[in-house]
Amino acid sequence: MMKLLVAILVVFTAGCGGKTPELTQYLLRTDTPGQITGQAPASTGIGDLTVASYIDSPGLVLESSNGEVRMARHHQWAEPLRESLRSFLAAEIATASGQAIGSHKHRASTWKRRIDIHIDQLHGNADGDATLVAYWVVIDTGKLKLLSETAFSDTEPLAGDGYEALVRAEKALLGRLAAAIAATLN
Amino acid sequence: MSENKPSVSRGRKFSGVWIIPLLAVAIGAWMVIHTALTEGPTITIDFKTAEGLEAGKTKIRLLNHQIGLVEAVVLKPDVSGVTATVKLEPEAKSLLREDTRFWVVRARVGAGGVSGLGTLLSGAYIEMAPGSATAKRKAFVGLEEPPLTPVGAPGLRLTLFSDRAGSIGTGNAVLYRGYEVGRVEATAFDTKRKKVRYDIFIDAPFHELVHSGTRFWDISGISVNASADGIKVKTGSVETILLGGVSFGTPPGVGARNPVADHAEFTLYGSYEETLENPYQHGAYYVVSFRQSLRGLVPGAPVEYRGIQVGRVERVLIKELAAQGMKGDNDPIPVLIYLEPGRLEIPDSEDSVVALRSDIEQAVRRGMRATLQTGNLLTGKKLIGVDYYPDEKPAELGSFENYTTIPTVETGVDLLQTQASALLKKLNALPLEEVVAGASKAMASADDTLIVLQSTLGSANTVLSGADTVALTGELTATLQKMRFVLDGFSQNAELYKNLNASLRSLDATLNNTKSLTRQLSDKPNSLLLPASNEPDPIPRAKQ
Repeated sequence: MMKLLVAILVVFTAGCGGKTPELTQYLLRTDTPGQITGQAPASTGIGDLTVASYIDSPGLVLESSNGEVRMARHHQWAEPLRESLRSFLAAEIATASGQAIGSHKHRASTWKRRIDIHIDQLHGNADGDATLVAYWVVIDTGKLKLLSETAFSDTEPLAGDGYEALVRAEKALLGRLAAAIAATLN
Repeated sequence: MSENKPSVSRGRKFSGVWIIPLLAVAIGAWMVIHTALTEGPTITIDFKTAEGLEAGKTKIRLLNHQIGLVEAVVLKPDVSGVTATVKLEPEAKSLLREDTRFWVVRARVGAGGVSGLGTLLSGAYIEMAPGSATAKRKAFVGLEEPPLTPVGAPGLRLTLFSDRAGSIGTGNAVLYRGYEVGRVEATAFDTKRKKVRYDIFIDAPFHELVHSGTRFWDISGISVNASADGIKVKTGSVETILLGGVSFGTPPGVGARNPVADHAEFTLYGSYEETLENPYQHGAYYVVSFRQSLRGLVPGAPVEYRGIQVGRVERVLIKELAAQGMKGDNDPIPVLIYLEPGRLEIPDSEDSVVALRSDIEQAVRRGMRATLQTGNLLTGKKLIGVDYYPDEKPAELGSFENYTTIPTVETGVDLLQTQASALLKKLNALPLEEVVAGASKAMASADDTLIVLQSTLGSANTVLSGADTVALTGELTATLQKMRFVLDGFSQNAELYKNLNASLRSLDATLNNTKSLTRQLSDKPNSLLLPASNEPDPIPRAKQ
C-alpha cells in the first residue's frame, strides 16, 4: 500500500516539474507615418469593427494541415485585436487614400461616410502562409445609404519560421486590406 | 309771477363709473382667451400599473427634455389599470399624433442587460416618442416595455415563421456575416399557421441586403457536429450564445433576387445547413405511383430531370392508400413528391409554381413520365426520375386524395428483371421436347421415305417460324441491348461508377480516421482524460 502511495506521489510531482515556456507578446502598429497633422477633419471614419470569435482572444492562431485550429498560449497580442486593428487600419487607409480617416467612434457625427469592417479569418496555416478574410461596407451616413459592400481574401507567405514572421505576414496582409478599402473610397 | 318750473334735463346717457367694471371684464376675457391659446394640452395615458408614477412629481420627457408633468393618477373604473392625467407644455401640442407612444422609464434588469439605472436616483419618468400620423389624439395607451425601434426609423420590417420555438427572444440581434444590422421586435405563436412568428427590423441601409433569395436561420447557442472528419463546433458571438439571435444571407445558387416589401414573410431555418438543404420557398406537390419495391426510397430523396435535381420525395402515402382500401395484390403505391421551380433558375415565387403546373400538364401529354431509379447500387438508395418517353401513349394528369398524379413507367434494372422473367416463362412454354422426339423417330426409321422426312422437317420449320419463336428472337435482342445499357453503367466514365468510387473513397477516409484514433488511444490510453501540460506552442513554418 505504501509503495503505491509513493508511486502516485512520484507521478504527480513529475508532472509538476516541467519547464513553462516564456510568454512573448506582439504589438500591432503601423510602420507608415500615419495621419498627417494639420489635415482637414476626417469626413470618413471606421465605424463598427468586429472580429470572428476564434481570433477575439490574445493568442495568435495557427491552423494545422488537418484543419485543426490551435491558439498559441505563449505567443500573444499585447492588446486586444479589436482595438489595435482600429488604429492600425485607420492609419494605413489614411496613407493609402491620402485623406484623414477617423478611428474614434465618438466623432462619428462629423463623418460623411462610415466604414464598417468585419475580420472573418486571420491566422497562419501549415502551408507557410498567413491568411486574411474580411468584409466591409461603406455607408453614406447622411442619406443612410449603402455605397459599397466588398469582400477581401488573401494570403502572404511567411519570411521565416516562428511567430515573429507570422506577425509580420499578418501586418502585410492588413496593409493590403487597408489599400483595398482605400480604393473603394475613391 | 314767475313760474319756478324746474328744468328737467335728460342727464348723461353713460356714467363714467361703468368704465372700471367694463375694463375689468375685458381684461378677464383677454386673460381667458390668452390662457386658452397659450396653455399646453392635457392628455390621458393608460398604464397597467402605477409603479413609479406620482401625481405632481413624475415628469414627461422627450430626448431628455422635460415637456410635461403628471397631474393625477386614478384607477380605471374596471380596475384593469390606471389612467394618468398629464399636462404638457404648449410646444408638445404638435407632437400628439395617433401613433405617438409613451412608456415609463424605470430601472429594468433583463437577460439583455440593465437599463434605466439613472431613474433609481432621479425617479421614474414617462418618455414620449413622437408620431408621424396625420390624425391627432389626446387619449393614449402606454407601452409596458420601451419600444426597440423608434417610430419612422428607416429600415425594413419583416416577419419570420419557424416550426419550433428556439431560444430567440425579443431584443435579440439580427446579424449579417456576424455584424449586427437589426433586432427581433416581437415573438408570438401564430395559431392559424401553427408556427412561431418573429417580427424583426433591419436598420437602413442594411435593409438593401434583403431580397427574395435571402434566407434567415437561427444562430443561437453552440452547434456541435460529429462526423468521420472529426468534431466541428460552431458558435456565434457571446451574446447570441447566451441570448439567441438570427442571421441571414443568400445560399449559393439562388438565382432570382427581387426586392421585398415591408412586412414580407420568410421562413426561419434551424441552421445554415438547413438553408442549403432546402433553399427554396415555393413548390408544388405531386403524387407518383409505382408497382415496384420502394425499398431504398426515403423522404428527402431527390427527384431529378435528366440528372438535375428539381425536387424531393416527401413521403410514401401508404396510410392514405390503406384508408382507401387495397383493391388487389398489385396496387401501385403512391409517393408524394415536392417540385421546386427555383431549382430550374426561374424565380422562386407562386407565379412560377402556377407556370410549372401548366408546363407539367402539357409535358405529360407529350410523353413525360416519372420512373423509380436506383441512385446508388452500394447503399440501394433510390430516386425518382422525370423524363420524356416518346413511345408512351398520350396521357392526362390524374388525382389521388387531393394531389395531382403524374403517370409512371417502369425502367432500368427493375424493367430488365421483369422482362427476363417473362422471357424464361415463354421459353418454358415452347414444345421443344415434342419436336426433338419427332425428329429422332424419323431418323431411326429406315423405311421412312424422304416425304416423311420432309414432312418432319416441314413440321420443325413450322414450329421455328411460328409467331412465338419470332417474337422470342426479337425479345432476346431487346433484352441483350438492355443488358448492355445496364453494364455500360459500370464503365469508368459512367455516373454510377463515379458514385461507387466516391462512396469507396469516403469509406476509406472513415477507416483512416478510425485507425488514427485507435493509434492515439494505443499510444496514450489516458489521452482522453488527462490534457498535456506545458506543451509548447506549434511553430509556424515558412515555405521550404
